[in-house]
Amino acid sequence: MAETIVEVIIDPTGEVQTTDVVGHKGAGCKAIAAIFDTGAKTDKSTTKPEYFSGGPNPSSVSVGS
Amino acid sequence: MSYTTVQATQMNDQNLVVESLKGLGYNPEVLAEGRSIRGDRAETSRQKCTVILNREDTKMAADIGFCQAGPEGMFDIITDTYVNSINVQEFGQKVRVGYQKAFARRQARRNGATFLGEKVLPNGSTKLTFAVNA
Repeated sequence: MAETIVEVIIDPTGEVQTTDVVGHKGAGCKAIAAIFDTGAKTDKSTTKPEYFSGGPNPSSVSVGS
Repeated sequence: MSYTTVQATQMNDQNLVVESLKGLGYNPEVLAEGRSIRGDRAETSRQKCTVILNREDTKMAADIGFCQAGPEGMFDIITDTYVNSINVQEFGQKVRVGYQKAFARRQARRNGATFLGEKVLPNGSTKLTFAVNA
C-alpha cells in the first residue's frame, strides 16, 4: 500500500477550508479526502485538475444533443 | 444584574466539544443530567448544560455552559456576558477550531491514518497533516 499525505486546513472561524490529498492523481483522492469529511455544508467542492488528466471528466453529465 | 447570551454553534458531538475545551486549557465538567450555570452571585440559568466551564476554572465571574438545545442536537454556548468579559462568538469559533481538529484526528485514528503534525499558517488557519495508507 502506498502512503498518501492528506492536509486538512481549518480557518480561524472553525470551518474546514480544504482537504487536500497531496500529490495524488486519480479517482481515489476523493475517497481518501472523504475520511476527513465533517459532513458540514460547504459552499463549493472542487476536484484538482490532475483528476481529469488523461480522459474526460468521469463525473460530467451531458445534456442535449 | 445579569445578561445571558446564547450563542448557537455547529457542534453536536459532546466528546469532541470536551476534547476541544481541554485543548484550550480548560477543565470542563461533564454532567449526564446537566445543571444550570451560575452567574456572579446566586442567580442561575434556566437551561440545563451538560458541559460546563466553572468560573473557578476560567477565573471569570460566571460559568460558561454548553447546552445541547439547538437543531439536530447542536450545542448552544450560554454565559452571562454582563459579568464575563468575553466575546462569545469569538470564543465559540476557537472551540469550533479545536472541535474540527479533534474530529480530524479521530477520523484518522478510525481509518488507520497517522497524525503527522499541526501548523498555524500566517492567515491564522490551522493545517493538520496526516499519512494515509491507500
